Amino acid sequence: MTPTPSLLKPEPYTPQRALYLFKNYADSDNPNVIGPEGFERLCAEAEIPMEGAMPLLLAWQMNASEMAKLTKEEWVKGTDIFKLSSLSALATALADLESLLIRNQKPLERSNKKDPYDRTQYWKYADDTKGAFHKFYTFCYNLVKPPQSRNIDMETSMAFWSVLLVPKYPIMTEVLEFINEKGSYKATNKDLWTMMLEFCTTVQPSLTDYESDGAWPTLLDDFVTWKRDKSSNGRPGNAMEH
Amino acid sequence: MTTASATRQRDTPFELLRKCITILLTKDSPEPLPATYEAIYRACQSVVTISANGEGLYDRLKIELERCLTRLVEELMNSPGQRGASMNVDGENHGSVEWLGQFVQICQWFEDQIVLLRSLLTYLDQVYVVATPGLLSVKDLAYSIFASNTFENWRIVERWQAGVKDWLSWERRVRLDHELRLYIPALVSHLVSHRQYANFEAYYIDITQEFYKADSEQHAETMKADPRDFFRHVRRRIEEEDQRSKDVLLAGSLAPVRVVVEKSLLEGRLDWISTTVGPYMEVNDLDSLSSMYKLFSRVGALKVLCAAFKGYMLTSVKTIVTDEVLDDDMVGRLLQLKASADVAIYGAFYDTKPSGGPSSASLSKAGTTSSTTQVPNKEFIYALSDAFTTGFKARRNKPAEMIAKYLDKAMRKGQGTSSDSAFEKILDDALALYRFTDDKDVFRTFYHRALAKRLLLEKSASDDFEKAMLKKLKENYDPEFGMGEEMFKDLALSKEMMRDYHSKLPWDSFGQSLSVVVLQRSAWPFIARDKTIDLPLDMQDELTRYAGYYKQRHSGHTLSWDHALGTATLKARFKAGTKDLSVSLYQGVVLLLFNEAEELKYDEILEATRLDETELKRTLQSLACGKKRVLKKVPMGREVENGDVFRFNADFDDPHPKVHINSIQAKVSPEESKRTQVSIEGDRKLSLDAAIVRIMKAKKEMTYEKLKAATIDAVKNHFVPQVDVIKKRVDALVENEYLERSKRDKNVFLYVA
Repeated sequence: MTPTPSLLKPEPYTPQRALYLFKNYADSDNPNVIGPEGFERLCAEAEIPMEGAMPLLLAWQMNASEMAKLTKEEWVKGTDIFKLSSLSALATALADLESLLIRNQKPLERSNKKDPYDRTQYWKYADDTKGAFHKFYTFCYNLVKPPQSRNIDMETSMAFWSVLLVPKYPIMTEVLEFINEKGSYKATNKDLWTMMLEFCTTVQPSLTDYESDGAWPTLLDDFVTWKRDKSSNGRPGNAMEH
Repeated sequence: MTTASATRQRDTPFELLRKCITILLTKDSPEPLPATYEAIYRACQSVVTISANGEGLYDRLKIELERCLTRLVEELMNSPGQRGASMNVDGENHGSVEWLGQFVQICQWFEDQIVLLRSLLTYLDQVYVVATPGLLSVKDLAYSIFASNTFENWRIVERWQAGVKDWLSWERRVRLDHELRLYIPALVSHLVSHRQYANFEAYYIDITQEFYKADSEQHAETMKADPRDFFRHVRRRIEEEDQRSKDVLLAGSLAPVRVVVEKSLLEGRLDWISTTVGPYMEVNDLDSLSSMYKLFSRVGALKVLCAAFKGYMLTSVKTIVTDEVLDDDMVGRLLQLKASADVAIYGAFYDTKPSGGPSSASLSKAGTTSSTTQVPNKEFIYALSDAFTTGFKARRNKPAEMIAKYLDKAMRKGQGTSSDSAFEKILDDALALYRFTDDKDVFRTFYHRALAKRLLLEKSASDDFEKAMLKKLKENYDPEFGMGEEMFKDLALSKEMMRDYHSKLPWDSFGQSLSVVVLQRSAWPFIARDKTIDLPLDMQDELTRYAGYYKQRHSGHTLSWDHALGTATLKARFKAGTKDLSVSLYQGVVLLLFNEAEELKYDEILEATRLDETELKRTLQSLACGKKRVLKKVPMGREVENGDVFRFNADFDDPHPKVHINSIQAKVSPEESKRTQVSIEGDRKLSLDAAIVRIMKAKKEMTYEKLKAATIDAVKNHFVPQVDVIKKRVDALVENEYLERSKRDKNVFLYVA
């Protein structure tokens, strides 16, 4: 299927056009919802990679209540805030957020040229990228957690961490390696989810300031022990070479 | 000549006195005194009172004394002090010691002369000296001149010091009394007369220190292999010095000399010597231990000794509790260790105090004549307790388990021929060990289970001791042992009910042989089981009948049968005769199947009993593969396989009419221990959860640090939790939304109502 040309063109925003865009991806049996299939098609046609953070940023900005699903109401509200009604504007908006929040790039320069979409929200985030990311990160937990469950399974949370935290915090690569190696952790509860970001943002990568007898969740205590053991085992070998 | 002198003019009194003084102050003077003492005395009176020439006489005396001393010093300096080759012992020159003899002799001579002179010159002292301020009496003058020429003359000092040193070194080296030792007390007495003893004592102490520093150095080297040799050496040295001090010195010197001896010998070696505590304790050498305690106490080093004692105890406890091969003997070895430590504490590590009030009187050893009390050093008692407590931590849970098992064995065996108090002592000693373990819950669980078995299987030697023990445990250790009372109540009630039940049945009914024990689940450590075995119908009927009877009396209660705990007695007819087989209910049900068939396949038995397969295999193994084989297995072998076939073994025989067939169950006790351990771990999780929630409910919010401490405190009477386990419980409670982490401070948790 080839996208309709008019959807791609960076036309100026109108609510009608935004609604038209929605209808194009809405479920055949429920015109008020873009389901997983439509969501995927939307991303594909807007050239938004499914495996990165952009689909999550989209869900966040639309304040979606479920994964890979957008209701008409959410869509209308969301597109109105950003004043966007074309796939290219949508792709630009998400790419901007991704580079700001995930890739830690410098914010865009403000210019007099007309923006491809309304960047009011973007500038707000740029003023406090840490706070914005925290909101986004917390949003993701609720988005992915099954409604009846108290936690998310470890595999899913690892997939999310690799998208959300690995690009920002190199230590996360090792945390994931550790969890994989251990293989005994079953699930992530809200506390662990929250404390993982706290760990990434507050603890030195060398872990020298980590308090082993502090209030960190057990998984992080175990990780730190594991990493310290590993580096102390490695050290004598290095010393021999010198 | 006589005539000539007689005709000569009589000397003046002054002249007479001068002559007499010269003669008296000349040693071995060839000239006799020219006048009687009386005449000299009068002459002095005349010079002092009539001629009023006390001053001249006094000055004359001074000059004569100085001359006398010059001669004496010369004599002393020229005296080689050698009496000949006989004085050379071990080829050494003892001239210096010999010299002391001359010195003593000269002192003696001088002192004697002064006594005489002083009497003769009484008027000088009494009239002239007294009236003239600032003058020394005749004696004091003489002594002061004597002292300044001898004791203050470095040449003389050197010689007496050399003599003393040579003598002392010889005695210390050869460890015998020197032939010339008698000079020393003589010297001492003169030194005292001249108030010179302090210098002597200081010198004596100096050379003692010098000697023993070197001696200590040398012996520590030659005896480095065994500090016990060195310690023995030290003890002997101290005794020798004490004896020598008593023999030759003033009483006041005993203590300072001993101090310097001990200090010089021990300095820098206390730690090393204290390592002998262990070896001495191993052989119960109370004499050495007690001597070491006193020695360390005197040199203010009891801390060192106590640390060594504690170190030895800790290592020993750790070695014992971690020696898995000898687990079965763990408690026996611990008791032995504890007993030897107690012997050491009460027999060596005590201080002696005059006995005071009646409270301390109980500690005094019977038979001691003086009214003193031996007070064991508290630090050592604490050290012992610390060593056990810490040592037990080297192996979690196991010591507590083994103590419980030890008591189980004792309660089964009973007191035998020993007295009540002797048996009680055995139990109390084991309980003393229990006090040291942190894992109180482990002990309680194992004790409880073993007790339940003893009571149900009637294996306990004495109900009275069981009850006394429970009372003690409950009152002195852990109130949860109150469950024991419930157990006894159950047994009594069941017995009473059984009697009543039987009385209502016809005397020859099958039900007369039924015995039911009704246990309250809360008081007994057995887990409710689902139906485990199909009983033969007539047996099942009896149980149903009993259940009906029970329901009439206790309508609110539900009975569920635990057949795994059941036993049965079967009459079996073998070729050799009839035997009573005492078996478990499982074994009994399997055996009864052979009433109907000569031979049964494994699958058929399984189908008829519907026992759990591992249980069934175990049961068959006990009947067909153990020591007493009442079944034959085809093919033969130690393990039971699914295809096996079983036959009644009619050839079975046994010397006894009653035969007990052990179930394999009894042999898998390690497995049972493990299961008990697992259930204890589970209980601990629950206790921790409960404690954390209770604390948080009261406090509403708390830092993790404080919560952790409060939790440890809350469960400390039962066990000591590991910190990571507490954290896991907190994690779990957060996940289950009993707690949440504060948004303001990640170290703070909040209680979620």
